[in-house]
Amino acid sequence: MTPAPLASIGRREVRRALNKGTLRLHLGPFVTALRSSNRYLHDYFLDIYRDCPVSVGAGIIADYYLRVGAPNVLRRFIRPQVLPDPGFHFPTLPLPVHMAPLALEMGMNLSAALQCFRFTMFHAGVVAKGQDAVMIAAHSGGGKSTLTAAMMEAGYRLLSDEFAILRRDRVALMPYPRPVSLKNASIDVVREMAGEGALSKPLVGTPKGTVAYRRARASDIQAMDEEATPKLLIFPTFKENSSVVVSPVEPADAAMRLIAGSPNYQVVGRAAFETTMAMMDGLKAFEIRYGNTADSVKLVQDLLGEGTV
Amino acid sequence: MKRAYFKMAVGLLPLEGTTLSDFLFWAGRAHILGQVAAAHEGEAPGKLGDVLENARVRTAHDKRMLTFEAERIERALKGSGIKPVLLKGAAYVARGLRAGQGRRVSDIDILVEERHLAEAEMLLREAGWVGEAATAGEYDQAYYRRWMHELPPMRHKRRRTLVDVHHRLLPRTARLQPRHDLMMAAAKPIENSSLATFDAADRFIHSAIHIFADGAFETAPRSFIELYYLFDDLNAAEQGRLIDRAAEVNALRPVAGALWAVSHYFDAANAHAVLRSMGVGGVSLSLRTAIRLWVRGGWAKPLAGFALYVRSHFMRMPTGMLLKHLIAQAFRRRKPAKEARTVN
Amino acid sequence: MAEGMESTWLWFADRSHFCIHDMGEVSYLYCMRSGDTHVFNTVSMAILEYFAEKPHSIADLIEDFPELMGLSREECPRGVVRRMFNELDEAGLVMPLEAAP
Repeated sequence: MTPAPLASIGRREVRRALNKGTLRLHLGPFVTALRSSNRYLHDYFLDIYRDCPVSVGAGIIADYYLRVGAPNVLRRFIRPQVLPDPGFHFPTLPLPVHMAPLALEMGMNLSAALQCFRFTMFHAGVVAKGQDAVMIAAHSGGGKSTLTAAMMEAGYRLLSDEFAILRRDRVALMPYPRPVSLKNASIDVVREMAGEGALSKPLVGTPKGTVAYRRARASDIQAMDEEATPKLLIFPTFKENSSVVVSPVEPADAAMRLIAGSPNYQVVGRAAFETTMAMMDGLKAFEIRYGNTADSVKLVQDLLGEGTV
Repeated sequence: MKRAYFKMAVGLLPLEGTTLSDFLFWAGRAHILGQVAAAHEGEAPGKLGDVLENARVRTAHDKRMLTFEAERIERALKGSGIKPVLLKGAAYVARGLRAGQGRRVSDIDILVEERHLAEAEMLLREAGWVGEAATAGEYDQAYYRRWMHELPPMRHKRRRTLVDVHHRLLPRTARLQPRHDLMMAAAKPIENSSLATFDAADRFIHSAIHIFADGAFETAPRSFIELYYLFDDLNAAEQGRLIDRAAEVNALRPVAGALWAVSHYFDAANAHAVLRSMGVGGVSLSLRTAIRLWVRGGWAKPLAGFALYVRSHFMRMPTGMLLKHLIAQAFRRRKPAKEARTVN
Repeated sequence: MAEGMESTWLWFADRSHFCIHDMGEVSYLYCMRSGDTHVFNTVSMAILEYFAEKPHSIADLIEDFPELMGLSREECPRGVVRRMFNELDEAGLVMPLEAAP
């Protein structure tokens, strides 16, 4: 079956396929086989992934195989729990069964981060205006996801919230437009910008606090095969009510920070070195400190447009 | 069904058909995708191409790592006169064998003479390899040093790579006692290096010993593909002499099991011929059945796995010791394996 | 490793193993044998070049180092030079030749 938008397939058929493990998500460079009989996951998936291409049926080759379900038979019924099972040994703590969406997103991240070697991966969100991509480095307190979501509202397309995916043969970033993960205060901020309908129902009391996901738009999904060239690399820090501070980062330092946050740079080897170095040559890197979303958006627009402050 | 998969994995059958996605899933779980990719060079279409390319990148890294580690070990032992024999994956890569192409590796195994063990350990320690955390507890260390055929695994503190230093092929307590001294005596040095490998026949024999007589079982596909390539690389004369050599080094039973697996899963006529030349009593029905169950997977696997584990453990230790060891293991607190050894 | 033994060895760096990317004050170097990425400053790069030019012993390096750097001998303690060399050795960037054929 050729992949079709999830919303175009009957809900019952989708649930059946998820139960049996015959559903494949075809998003960006990856095909993920999904298996889960968790009701909360079904509902979340049908809602938040509604524009994403999926296939249902046997015989479709996948890059990754992800099961989201109970850790063992007992935990299907007694104080039910759920965790992601990406098919290799990786210790994760089981979650209460209604937090299946979190388990799914964690599992999708793990699957790509630990098994992808035909691209070099960096921990960064990526948005793009036309062909020009902005990489937003991930570190706690940085507000990467809020900034990513805000740039979407400012007319940038979403390539990815979690990973910058760099080709090995040329300097180009590949989209993998999965939902943007939001925590705590940023949920309200993004709801304000994008509207209630764009967000999943918040999950309270997760290990990361309150968590919700902002759907990737149909336009982002439609552009999922369009690469972009990284022009700007941002290391953001959010501090409530702070005024804006911008400082350029030396390419050598920026490279070191990016490489340190890559799950697979070492394995990809020479190609990773050469394309990463070439990428650094072609972009400008800045640390930015900001105190509200509007400031950060303007900052990114200015830095991208002019290339200097 | 599964037998076709083994043949697809080594290039005896093409990668096509309705079972292809199922095959790739099986191969992925068995950690042999890199070997599948190596057996099917050239551009493959679409998602199949992606999966194979991904495996190629990963296994290219493993090969690079293995080659560099062998060099580092040579460097560490330089000037001491110790000439280690590279075992298994490290040997296959050093010799450019098919058994080494596309292989997933995590440890490097070397064999040194027992009299050199202390010095080798000291030199490796000086060069940055330290005792691995998982076996660092007192009981484990004592157990290892007294009964096992190798030092406790050593991990390099910066590179995080593991080296296993063996002084024999199986533990002192194993029922099977292969003649590692004869095999070491016949080892061939690597050009411009102080390292050596077993000769071709002994490499096959060692692989058979490791798979059938050692307690640690890798996945069946990985093990049997290795045996297939190693056997297939033997010339006619070497194949003809194999049984005699196996008898000489006291490894007839594991070699018989290995020949059976190669002949059964790959329809290898040459392996079958050599097996037949052994006469009756080659491979016991119970072992053949357990192997078949192990390969098939599914619900039967835990039972077969347990049977194999108990059997292999049994092969390592006298019964009294086995009980004591299992009890001690059961009461030891389970620490999470932060750096899990998956394959070697 | 006995210091007496090793002082007779010659060491060399093989440029064909390296990919080098200049980034102003520092250079990034990828070693194809080890798969490691290194950051070199002008001092460490000069030492690597020294061994790439032709094989030298450690004693040679210690002797020639001040002139190489344009510094006085007092500014280049033996121990420091040795430690920098050890890092190159440990990283597999320099390799030993046998002392005499």
